[in-house]
Amino acid sequence: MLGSKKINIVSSLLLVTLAVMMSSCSKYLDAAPNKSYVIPSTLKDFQALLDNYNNLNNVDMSVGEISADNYYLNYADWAALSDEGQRRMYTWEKDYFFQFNAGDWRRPYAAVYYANTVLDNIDDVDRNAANAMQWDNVLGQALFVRAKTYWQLAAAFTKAYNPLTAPTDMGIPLRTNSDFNIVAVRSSLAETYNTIIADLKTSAALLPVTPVHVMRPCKTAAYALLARTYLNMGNYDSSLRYADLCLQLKSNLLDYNTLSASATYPIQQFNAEVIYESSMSVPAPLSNSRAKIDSVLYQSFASNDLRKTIFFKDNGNGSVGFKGSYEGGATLFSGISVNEVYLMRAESYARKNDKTNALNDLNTLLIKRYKTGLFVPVTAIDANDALDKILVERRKELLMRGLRWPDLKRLNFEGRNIAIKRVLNQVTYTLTPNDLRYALPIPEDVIRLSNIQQNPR
Amino acid sequence: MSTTDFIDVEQFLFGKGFKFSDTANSGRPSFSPVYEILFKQRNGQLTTAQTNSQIDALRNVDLRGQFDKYLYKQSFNQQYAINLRGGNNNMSYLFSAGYDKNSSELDAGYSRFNLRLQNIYQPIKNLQFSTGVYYTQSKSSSGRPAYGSITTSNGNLPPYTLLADDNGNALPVTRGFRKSYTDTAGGGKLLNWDYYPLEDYKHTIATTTTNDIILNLGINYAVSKSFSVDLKYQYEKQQVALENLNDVQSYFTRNLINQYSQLNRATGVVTYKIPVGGILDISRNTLSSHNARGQLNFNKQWQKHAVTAIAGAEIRESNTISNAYRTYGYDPDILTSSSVDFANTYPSFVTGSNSFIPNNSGFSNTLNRFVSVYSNAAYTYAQKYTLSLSGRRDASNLFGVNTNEKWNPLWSVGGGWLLSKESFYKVSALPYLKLRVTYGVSGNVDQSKSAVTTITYSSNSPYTLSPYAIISRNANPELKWEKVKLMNFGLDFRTKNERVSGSIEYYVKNARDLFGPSPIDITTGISSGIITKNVATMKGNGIDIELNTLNTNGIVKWQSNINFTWYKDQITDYYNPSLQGSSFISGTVPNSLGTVGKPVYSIFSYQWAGLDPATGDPMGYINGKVSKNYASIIADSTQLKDLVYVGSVMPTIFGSIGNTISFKNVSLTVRLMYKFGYFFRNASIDYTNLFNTRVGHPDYANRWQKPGDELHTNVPSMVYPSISARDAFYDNSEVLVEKGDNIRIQYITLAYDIPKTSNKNLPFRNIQLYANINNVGIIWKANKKGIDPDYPLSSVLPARNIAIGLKATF
Repeated sequence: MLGSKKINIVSSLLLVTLAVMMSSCSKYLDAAPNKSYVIPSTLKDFQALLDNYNNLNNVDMSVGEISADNYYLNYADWAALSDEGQRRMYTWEKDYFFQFNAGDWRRPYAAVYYANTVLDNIDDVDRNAANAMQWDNVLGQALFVRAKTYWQLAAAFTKAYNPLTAPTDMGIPLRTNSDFNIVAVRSSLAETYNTIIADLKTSAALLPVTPVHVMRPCKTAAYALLARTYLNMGNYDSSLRYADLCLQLKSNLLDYNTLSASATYPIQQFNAEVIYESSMSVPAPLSNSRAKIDSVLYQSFASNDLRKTIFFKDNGNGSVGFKGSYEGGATLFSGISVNEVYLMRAESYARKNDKTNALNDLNTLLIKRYKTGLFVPVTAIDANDALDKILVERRKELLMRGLRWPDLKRLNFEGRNIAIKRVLNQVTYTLTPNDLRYALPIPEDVIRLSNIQQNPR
Repeated sequence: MSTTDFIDVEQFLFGKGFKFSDTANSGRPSFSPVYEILFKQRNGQLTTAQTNSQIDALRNVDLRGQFDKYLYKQSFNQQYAINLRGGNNNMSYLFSAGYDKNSSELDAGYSRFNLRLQNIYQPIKNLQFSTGVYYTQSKSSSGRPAYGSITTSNGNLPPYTLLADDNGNALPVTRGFRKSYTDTAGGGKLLNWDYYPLEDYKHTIATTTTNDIILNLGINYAVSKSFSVDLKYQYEKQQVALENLNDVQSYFTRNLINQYSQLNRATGVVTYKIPVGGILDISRNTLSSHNARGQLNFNKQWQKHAVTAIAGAEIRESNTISNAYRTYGYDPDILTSSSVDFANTYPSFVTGSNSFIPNNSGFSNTLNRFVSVYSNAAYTYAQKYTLSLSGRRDASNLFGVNTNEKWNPLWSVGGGWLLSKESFYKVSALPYLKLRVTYGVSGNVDQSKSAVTTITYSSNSPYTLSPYAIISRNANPELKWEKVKLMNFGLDFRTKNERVSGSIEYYVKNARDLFGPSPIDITTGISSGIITKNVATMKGNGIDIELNTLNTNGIVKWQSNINFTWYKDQITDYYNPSLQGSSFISGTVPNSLGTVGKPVYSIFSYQWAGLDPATGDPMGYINGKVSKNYASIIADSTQLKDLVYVGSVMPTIFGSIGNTISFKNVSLTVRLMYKFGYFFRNASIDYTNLFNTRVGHPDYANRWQKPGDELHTNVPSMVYPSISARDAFYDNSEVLVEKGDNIRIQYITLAYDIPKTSNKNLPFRNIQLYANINNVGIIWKANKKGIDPDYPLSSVLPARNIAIGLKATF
């Protein structure tokens, strides 16, 4: 047949073409379907994950603040809350605070996942002389982010730290890497705090003193968070040590005399006191149109105290709302700032019986809060008296930042006997000191899916 | 829900002090007109009588009717087309052109112009070239706002909203902020802050312009009588330009300018951080794609043997490059614009909170590649027995997947027997009868599969000025391929004179490692709470019947076309670890992949224990005991086994029946569609949504109000505070599941033909006039509540289309 030769030539040509096509196929198919898609493998990629401020800085937990006693709701506003869980949270019910896939559990663990993704992969990048600073910085940031998130989770979902029972008390689930097939288990409270401290110590050694922006963690922030963690644990020696290390690096305070009390939000975002920026997205109960500041707390501000007008807005009906956030807006600041570190050092000095240094720190802070020339330095008869006064000022200076709830646990644990109350429609709800409900209930769907243990009621 | 019922609810809520806190909200959210009247009464500005008369005046207002009156109109579509064909032995061409011009019921415009030129050229006997050029240009533009599309800072527009006064003059409606605030806030220094629904759409115009060109080239070379080679190449370039202009009179633009205005109260000077002018958003997408295919064809018959075979390979690439940006201070008349400061934050005029001016610039570059090799071969003996084989493998550039895992295989083998050709076949009533059988196997790779965690770069952080990224896909190496096996039996037949012809198919499907969403503990860091897993195996079988009949063939010709499908499937194994009930209702895996022995897509519901006779509270069950602990029912205490299985979500019997009756030159076609054997979840009143977002439901009128009502209603009582878990329980309970079975008329066509034979002087061969009604409507439904199961949640059903046309062939 005449045709068969032609067939052979043509088919062998096609076969060759096909073979060439197939071998180059693998390269051809490896092209990324989208230029923005990347397999994270460089320090730039890791830094990009850690710079995701929407997922790491702007989503701090607010459940502790909702549960705390800095504010109250009137009955109409409480009843108008559309989220029944928040109504339950406000009155310290035992359970069902959270809807399915609750943000207050999801967001912190998503942040931990980001940090773990960096921690799991950074070792694949060779650390050399050229990149050592950046390499260390990225690693330090990831460890800090994880520690900060664990700290917030522990503040909300565990009971007060008791060094005697901590090895058997329930802590939070710790995620050591990004493998989501590993089922969550609850660590002990001691493990939780040891992990936070270990991560922070490592990160403090790695991070630069001055960050590109306070959105990024720095050495100063790691020291401050260590001080805060030790304070929570009642370890005042270490709290003092790290607060001191922090203040050696950064000690600027805002002089409130320079602020305009009439501004809608008088305190600017990223101001000179801010060491590390992070914030809570404001849930309905904490919105300053509903949340009214505890009247005893408000009355405790002296008339010469600038905070009385800078922190609070008059609602026109005898109640006041909060406008003193370090966010320059309605968002609530939950990061770290110098004023908190002064108060931690002051408290630690006082607890170590060093009245002079304690009052010194307190007065250094307060003079910036009073009208120029009208501040009378605080005095005390002894260190205990100083401590009481520092704790009062701590409450006044650091309200609506997510710090009151862990403070209530810590102070009640040492016997300060602070019972907190809510009144709704003539019904009084009381949370007695050291009540089991101080460890908030973990979302029920999480319990069901992971089989981790619920906090006892 | 009626306007008067809605007003009653608002008065009730006002009495509870609901949302009073918004008066102190620095965002100045708006209140409804009824609330504003009641606030005035509360402040002593109105007497009770005045208040009641003002409110009663609103009770008869019907927002829906006003949308119909002022915004909806008759849609109008025009379509023109022309086709020309010609050529000789070695050259032929086809030319066509078309023009469409449509305007929708909301006056959204669409126009399309297309040209097509195709040539086939045969220079020598065995060689054929074909070329084609297609060009399409289309343009669409936005129209008026649809009912339900306008929302306020407190949810939907209230049903008593007035869009125009008695003389038809447009009225402003409260949208973002309280009017008392916007009227006074700037002391006259800001732009007007009112929103007029009947005017605003004239100042917000979005257009999409598409230019598309497709070129193709084909070469066919017949190497011999039985063997030929096909090469084809196609190139496409498409440019899409989207422009969205909010001119300076639009609410969007005025609102944004006002919010970024810095008013110095002392001097009264306004500094505009966003210039007073239009805001133009532009985005341009360019798609270029290449597609090449080479194919060998073999076709040979000798003696009683016939072989046809093809083998080929195809490669395809499409690349889309997009960019988008926004221009402020745009003046469309003189084409000027202004620059703004994107680098610094400015305090909002309303709230005082700082924010950046929205930038809206973005770039993207996507690339899709696809490779395929395939082959089919069939051998027929004596025109009676056919054996066929086919196989193909496809791959695309899936990200984060190893190359050898990107290939999807697919193969099948089949046999056919033309029974009517056998010598022993004597059934003269059925002159054509063929039996077929096919067995095929395919595998699917899940697009979300990734062996490694991948991230997506977003934009630059305004703080660190460095790019930031999100984790877009989680490494999921455990995911296996989904495998599907399909066995198909078929029968084709024709009766004498083709009075009845058709086919019957029966198929059995087996699939394992089916992909499905699987709930995962969010503690793992998977924010969605869902990962794709191989969750189940299933089997299914079905029958497809198609019948074409010629019922009468005289002066009146009546033809029918009947399609019938019966399909049933069930889960045979389920290996999802979580069986939390809520996941199967409204959480991660609604209506899918549940119990062994049940259809793949099933509706599950909470078991209903009736309304509490004392309070009208809905009641469910926990561990077999009647319970009102809704938070627990919808969260952790209901497992899959506790849910009520109602039935399939997909119709198990469906099809269509078409009848055409022609008499002389007139023909009438009616096509019915039917669906049976399925269920849907009906909507009802949700008090949490009613209070917070003004989403009402007519069931409100049937709610439990006093003891005894539980005997004739299942609609729970209204409680305050609303309990979202109570609403969620009721909305997903078994009492709201309805049978979906229905029959509808899809279209009716009346046509009139004038063939040339009727008048030899006519310049055309045939001319047809036709009228067509689409979406005629539902004629029977199983549910008694008057709900169209195809649109259970929408308040506006798709409009009935009427088309009138003329078709001429020359």
